[in-house]
Amino acid sequence: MGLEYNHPEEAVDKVLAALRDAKPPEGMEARIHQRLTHTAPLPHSTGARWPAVVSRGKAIFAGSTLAGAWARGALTGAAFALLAVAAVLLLQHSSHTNLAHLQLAANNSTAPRGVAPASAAPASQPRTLPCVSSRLVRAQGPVSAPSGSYRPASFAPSRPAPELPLTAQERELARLAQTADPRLLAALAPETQAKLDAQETDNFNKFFAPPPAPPQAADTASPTNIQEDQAPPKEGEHL
Amino acid sequence: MAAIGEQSLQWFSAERVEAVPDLTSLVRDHSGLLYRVAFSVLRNPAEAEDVVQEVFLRVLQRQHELSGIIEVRPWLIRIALNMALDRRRRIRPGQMDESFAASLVAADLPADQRLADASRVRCVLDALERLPAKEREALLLSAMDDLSTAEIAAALSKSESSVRSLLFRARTRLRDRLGD
Repeated sequence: MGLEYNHPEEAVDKVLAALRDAKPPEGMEARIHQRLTHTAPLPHSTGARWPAVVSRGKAIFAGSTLAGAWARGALTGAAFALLAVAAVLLLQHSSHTNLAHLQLAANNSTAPRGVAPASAAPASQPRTLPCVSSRLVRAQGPVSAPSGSYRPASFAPSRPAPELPLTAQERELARLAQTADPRLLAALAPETQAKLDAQETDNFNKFFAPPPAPPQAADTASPTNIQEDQAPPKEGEHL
Repeated sequence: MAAIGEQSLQWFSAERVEAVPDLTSLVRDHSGLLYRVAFSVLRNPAEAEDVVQEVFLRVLQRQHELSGIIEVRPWLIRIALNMALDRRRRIRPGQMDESFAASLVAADLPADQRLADASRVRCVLDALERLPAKEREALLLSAMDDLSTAEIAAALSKSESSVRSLLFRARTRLRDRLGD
C-alpha cells in the first residue's frame, strides 16, 4: 500500500475513494428524525398542517376554559385599542388636511393678481382644492411646520382679505371721476354723448348758416330795429 | 354543497401527497449521500452529521417548495454542499487531516512506512485544498460513484461540458503539483 501513494494519480484516487466510502455514524437517521420531530412535527400523510393550528385556535377561543376567556378578553381589548388608534390617526389626518387647505387658500388670496402660483389651483375654482394631496401641501413650506406652531392659527378670528391693487382700467375710471371733465364723462354715457353731439351739430349749422337776404328799400327799418328803438330804457340809462 | 367541498378538499390533499415527497423517505434515501458530500468537504464526522441535520431542517422549513422541484437529489446535494462550505469557513479541515490520513494508512506496515504514507496523504489533501473552489467541488462530487455528470452539473449550476472541463483541469493540476 505504501507504493500506491508514490504515484500521484493513484494517491488522489485513494484519497477520493476514502472520502467516498466514509460511513455515516451509527444512528444518524434516528438523530435526524428526532431533531426534526423536536423542531416541527413531521407532515402526516394528509399533508395538512393548518387544520392542527385551526383546531388549536378553536379550542382556545371557543372553549369555556379560563384560558379561552383570557384569550377572548385580550383579543377584544386589542381590537378596541386598534380602533382607537385608527380614530385618532384619522382625526389628525383630517385636521392636517383642513389646515393645509386653509393655508393654500390664504396663499392664493395674498398672491399678486395675474400671477398665479404654479402649484395652486386657480382662485375661480376653489372646489378643486380638496384634490390637493397632503404631500403637495407639505412641500409648500408653511404647512409643513410642526403641528404645535400652526395649530393656534386655526383658532384665530378670521380677517377679511386685504384689498387688491387696482387694475389699469380701474385706475383710469378713478382718474376720470376725479377730474370730472364733462366731455370725458360724457364719453362714458352714450345718451349724454348723443345730446352733446346734437348740440354741437346745431351750433355748427348756426355758425355756418347763410346770411339772411338784404332788406328792401321800402322797409329800411326792420322790425328788429324798431323794436330795439322802442324798447324801454334800462335802469342804468335813467341814472 | 358541503359534500362537494369535502370531496374537492380530499382530492386536493391526495394530489399534494402524490406530488410532495415524504420527508421520512428523503432522510432514508439521501442522508448517506449527503453525509459523504459533507464529509468530503469537512473531513469531520460530527460536523458532517450536523450539516445533514441542517439540510433536512431546511427542507422541513421549505416543504411547500418541494412540489415545484423537479430533481430533488441535486437540490439536496446543492444545499448540503453550500452548508458544508459555509461551515468550512468556521473550522479548518486541516485539523482533522492527521487522524484521517492515519486512518487511510494500513496498520500492518512498518512505522516509518506508515509515517511516509500518512505524510503523502496529507500532501494530497493539501493539494485538494489549494485547488480552485469549483474544480475542488466538481472533483469531490465526482468521487461519489452514484452521482452522474448531469447531477453534478445540476448541483453546481453548470453545464455538463463545464463539469468535464473542471474535472480535467483539477486532475491535471493535482498531477502537476503532486508530481513535483
